[in-house]
Amino acid sequence: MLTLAGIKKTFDPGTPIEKHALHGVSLHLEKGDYVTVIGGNGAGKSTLLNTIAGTFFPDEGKITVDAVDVTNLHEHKRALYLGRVFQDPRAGTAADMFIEENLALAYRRGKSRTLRWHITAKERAMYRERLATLGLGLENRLTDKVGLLSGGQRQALSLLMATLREPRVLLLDEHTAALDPKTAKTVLDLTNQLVHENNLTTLMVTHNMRDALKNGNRIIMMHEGNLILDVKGEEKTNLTVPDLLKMFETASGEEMASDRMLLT
Amino acid sequence: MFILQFFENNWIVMQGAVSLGIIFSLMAMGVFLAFRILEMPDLSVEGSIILGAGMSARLISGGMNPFLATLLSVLVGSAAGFCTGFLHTKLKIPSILAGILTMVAAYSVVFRIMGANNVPLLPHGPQRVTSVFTFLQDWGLSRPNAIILLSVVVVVVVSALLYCFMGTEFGSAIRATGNNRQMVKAQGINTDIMIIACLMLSNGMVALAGSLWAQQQGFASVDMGIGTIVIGLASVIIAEVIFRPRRFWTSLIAIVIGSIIYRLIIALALSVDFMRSTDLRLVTAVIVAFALCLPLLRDNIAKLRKFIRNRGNT
Ligand SMILES: Nc1ncnc2c1ncn2[C@@H]1O[C@H](COP(=O)(O)OP(=O)(O)OP(=O)(O)O)[C@@H](O)[C@H]1O
Ligand SMILES: [Mg+2]
Repeated sequence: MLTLAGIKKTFDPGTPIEKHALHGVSLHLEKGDYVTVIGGNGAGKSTLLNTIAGTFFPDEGKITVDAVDVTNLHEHKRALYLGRVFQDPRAGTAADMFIEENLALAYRRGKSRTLRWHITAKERAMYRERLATLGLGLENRLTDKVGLLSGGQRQALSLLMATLREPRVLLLDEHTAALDPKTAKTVLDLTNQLVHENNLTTLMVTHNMRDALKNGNRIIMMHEGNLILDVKGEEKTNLTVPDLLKMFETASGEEMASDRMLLT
Repeated sequence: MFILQFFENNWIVMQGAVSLGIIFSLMAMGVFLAFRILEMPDLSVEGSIILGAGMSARLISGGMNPFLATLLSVLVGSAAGFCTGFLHTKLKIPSILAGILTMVAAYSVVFRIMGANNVPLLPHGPQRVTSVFTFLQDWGLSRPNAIILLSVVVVVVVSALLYCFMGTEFGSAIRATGNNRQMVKAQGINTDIMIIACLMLSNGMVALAGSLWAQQQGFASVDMGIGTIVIGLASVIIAEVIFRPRRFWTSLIAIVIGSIIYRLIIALALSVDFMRSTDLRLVTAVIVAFALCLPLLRDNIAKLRKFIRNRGNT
């Protein structure tokens, strides 16, 4: 479904602040793979997801989604295939627009914008139904501005928007990191529900090792721009946090340094 | 009341202020589109207002049908908006600078179009100027009434169209672009196109205001556009401070009223004996500064009240 072949990315090449963020990453996701991505600060996780999404182009390598070569497609052209939720709850929604307007924008993902009215009565009923499944009471607030919602509500809405038109690949970049633990759990449960119901191919970055182990059928670990670990299926189910730490040390030759990863 | 008395004694001044206010509300809506909807400070409106005025004056004085001339003026304004949008999105020039470049270039272009510093519109019968208002005068309306009537019709039609457009899928994408470009891209929308389209729309409206303005006063001059941006902002801010509109259509209505209020304040200020008409821009700047600091002022007054109340209690 998603194939990365030898993706390299260097920021500010040829300057003193040159940064090799990805050193030739290759990865293949089957349809329905639900992959959690872990790694320390600056390991290149966000860069990986942004390269897939087309925020910038890789220096080398090839990206195919469902057999379509998207390597040179602009971000807005690729969006047809991708659903995204960002770490910042403000990033995935338009704050000054209504909930229903945001959903209508997402419902037309990858379609050209015409001079038809931006929403239909039929859609509105469908949005109400879908919002009700979130269990956050948003179904009665269709014409509230999104800026009025809490971070968790906005993140839940972003998730719904990302999956409203079934994406070939769902990209989640620490989408629960900015939320309090209880809300984070709600949003994560919702993520699992949406991913499983629709059998979505998913890449989910998280800083929380336990979340990374508990969710998904496959886990990958990044370190200094390289993929250093890729465990799936049964082996992944039996993995524990101490196992992960040990595997990290043997693969990278270093002690796990990220406080954030150990503590959470 | 002093103010009411003033306007009663100066019916003509007030009529002029109202008709200018209505015509300029089109410009203020253009400024609103760029500054508030797109959240992009677009200074090219200073250029498009004189492009609209100069183009109309030249074409009408050359004998063209005033309606056709007005339409062409709008297109020239849109072209200016396109330039700013292109400079900003495709050439990655910061928006303020892109607007300034277009504005500066527009001054030269307008001079070429007009061929002189000042172009009067052609006489049409005794004491009349050819303009889009002429046909109403031919029907027997006085010139001031003809101007107000047609301007009101134009403003109503344009804002209705604008409202409908902003409610379409395309308009909705433009509004979202001003809000959150990243999110809009993630929804598969080309933000460059949205930005360029919105600037073309906004500058087209500003040029329409310029065109009607030239036809209202009977001439266009090269320097008449200076300060336009501040006048537009003044109207928008007055509208926001007084009416606090929450929806798009209430914003549009508030802007029309804000634009008229601005003109009335100016008329009132200039009626004071020692004020000169050249003080207009100073007065405008003061109004905008005042309106902008109103929230702060409000806070401080509330604090002061509380302070006095507390002292009274102890
Ligand atoms: N736009 C950019 N310009 C320059 N350098 C960048 C840019 N984006 C990321 N980097 C650098 O690339 C490296 C990888 O960053 P990235 O954001 O992918 O890490 P990450 O794994 O997501 O880390 P975190 O856990 O902190 O989110 C970092 O050293 C970062 O400073
Ligand atoms: Mg990151």
